[in-house]
Amino acid sequence: MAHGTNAEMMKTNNKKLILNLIRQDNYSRVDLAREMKLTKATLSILTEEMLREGLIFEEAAGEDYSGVGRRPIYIRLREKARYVIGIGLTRSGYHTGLFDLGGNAVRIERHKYCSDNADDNIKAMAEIVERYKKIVPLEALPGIGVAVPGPLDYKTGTILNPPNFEVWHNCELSKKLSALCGLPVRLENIANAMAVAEQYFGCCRREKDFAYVAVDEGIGSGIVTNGRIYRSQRGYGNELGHISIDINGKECSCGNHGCLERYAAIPEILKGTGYESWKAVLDDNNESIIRKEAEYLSCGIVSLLNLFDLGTIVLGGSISEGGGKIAEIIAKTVNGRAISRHAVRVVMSEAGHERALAAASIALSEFFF
Amino acid sequence: MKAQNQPIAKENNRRLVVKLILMHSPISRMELAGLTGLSKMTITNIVSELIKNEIVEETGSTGSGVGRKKIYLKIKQNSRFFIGLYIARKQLFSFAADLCGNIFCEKHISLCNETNDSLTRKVLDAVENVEKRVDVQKIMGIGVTCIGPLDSEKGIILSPPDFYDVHDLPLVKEIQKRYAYPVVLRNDMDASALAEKYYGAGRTLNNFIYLGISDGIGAGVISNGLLYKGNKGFSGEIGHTCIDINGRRCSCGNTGCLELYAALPADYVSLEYKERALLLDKSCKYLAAGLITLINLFDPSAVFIGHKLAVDGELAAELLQKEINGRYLASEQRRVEIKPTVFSEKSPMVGAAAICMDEFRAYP
Ligand SMILES: [Zn+2]
Ligand SMILES: [Zn+2]
Repeated sequence: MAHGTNAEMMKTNNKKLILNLIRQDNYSRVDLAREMKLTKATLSILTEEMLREGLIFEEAAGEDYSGVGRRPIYIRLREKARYVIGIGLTRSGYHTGLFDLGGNAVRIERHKYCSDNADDNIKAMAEIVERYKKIVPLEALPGIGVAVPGPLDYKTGTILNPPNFEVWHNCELSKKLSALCGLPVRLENIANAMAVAEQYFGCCRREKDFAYVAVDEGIGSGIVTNGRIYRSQRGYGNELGHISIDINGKECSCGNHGCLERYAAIPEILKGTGYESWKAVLDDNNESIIRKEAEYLSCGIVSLLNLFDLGTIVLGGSISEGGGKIAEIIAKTVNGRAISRHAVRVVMSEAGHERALAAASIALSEFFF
Repeated sequence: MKAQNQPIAKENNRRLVVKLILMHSPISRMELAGLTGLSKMTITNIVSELIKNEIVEETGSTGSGVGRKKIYLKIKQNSRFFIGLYIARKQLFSFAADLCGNIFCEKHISLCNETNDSLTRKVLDAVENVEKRVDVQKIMGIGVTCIGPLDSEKGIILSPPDFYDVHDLPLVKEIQKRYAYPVVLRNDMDASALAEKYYGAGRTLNNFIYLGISDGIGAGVISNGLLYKGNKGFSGEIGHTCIDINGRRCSCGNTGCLELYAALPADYVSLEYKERALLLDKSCKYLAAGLITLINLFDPSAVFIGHKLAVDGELAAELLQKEINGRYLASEQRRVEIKPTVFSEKSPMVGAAAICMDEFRAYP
């Protein structure tokens, strides 16, 4: 909030806005000027500059254009104009990828950690980055996004103390990786990164307020509000798995009682059922387990909706593998219970589970959108 | 994200400077340049204009250092006024407020069996009453805080529970039929959070929550220095989050809502201390669960307790702090301060000035 606006920031802001709009829909110059409440002259200065930079191109509307009058000329995003690198860390290894502005992968790879030392692994990542840098023109590659389990300090690019991730505790990953490969690095938690991937390439392309809820071994959430990632200053927060749905409920390792995670995380819901995976539950179409899981998740999701007032909930992680039945049940339940009057969509993740793409989305959000 | 052009940027910078002077006064031009990232020249120009329009004034330094005397800035008292209204369940408060959040000409009338029409009439009368008593030239607008849910963008009171026959009332439009001032409508929790941000103990904080507890429970969230608004203004409804999945059904449609367990009786303030202490003790046990939810989701550095519970704010804050310690995530790495609001029960009123401060584009 404390930042003033100068001419340079104004231009960057407006260019980002143009890229964001044409990413979502058909826009001619006139449409853009109207939408952005800028004069046509001001807008043209911006689009001319972006044409010169190669970020956009103009294209006549197709034969199927059904509006009145002449066929408009649309401003399009030139996907191959720029690239970003995404690195997504998991507890067992990491994914790397080189993507264009449209999220198309030029390279995508999976790696195992090479040692129990964070610095060694960062060195290995830097070598991969060096390889990627040779594939595309350097001036077309502004930076790297890295997605990791939280909590983290996104301002300094430091991983804090995620459970079962001890090797990386208090690692200043952004600074170290950036020093080795000479590109800016942005660090973000994986749930937020997944949310942004849904915004650019998945099921929330035209949405401004939604949450990505990952249900796996644990439950994580990432929130996009007013089109941007919702971040807290200290890097904690967004911990949907640790809100209580039963004040007298099971104890949780976090110190709280009745945490959602203690009921709805996949291992918890499977306990005592004989099933070994969520997919097995679905294959068997075990209605009562599916309904029970839906009830737990709905309970947490209603809280999320009543606190953040969102338009869509995207389910990700293993819960989203195979069939949208649970999404339907949850949609019906939460729409009956949430305070807001507008209908809430509950859908399965569409951007997939590719962590490298999620990480790359963070770089795209930083440098372009 | 919104598009920007020269006039918008200029207006934004001017508003930012006013807010920063308000929150950080006394503050020097140099410090303002540092905080905003704007050039000293730009700051000097904006400040001169604000001084000329009598919104800001200079104040000498209080320090005893040697060398040139530093000049500090602050917002001038009584230079402009907002007309403020707070529509509670049983009462309508009306008053004037200056840019510094000082409240004058306070009056209240009771509400009962209201309809959209009758409430509108009472609101218009109240505005007229305040308008008569201040210099009309200096009135900048009208701020209305009201129990929710509301549609702030469209200026409509939607459907507050137990609120007589009042619902879907386009109050802002009704006021603007008679008055040309800009009008802002916000729910009492969000407004109270902004009161803390501009005039209270949240001035130097960027992430905090106002938690209001009366016969209803709600929260206003300040995140990265700004009010969290959500998709359509239905955010911060902590009173309607489930703390007992097997619990009672709430009138909102949800199960086991916090409000069912932790809300205070409407006459809480007038009860004997002993009775209040018992209620408080019970309420805080449940409130702690809601508070932990807020902390684990929003990561605030402080939570301010207000509305009726503010009467016993110190005690409540102490109880809650004890209840939550060790129970929210990363308790060892981060402290969350629980404190009573400095405005006692008046947060929503100061909030009426704060929402004007937050929204209005009309300086000077
Ligand atoms: Zn927990
Ligand atoms: Zn409820």
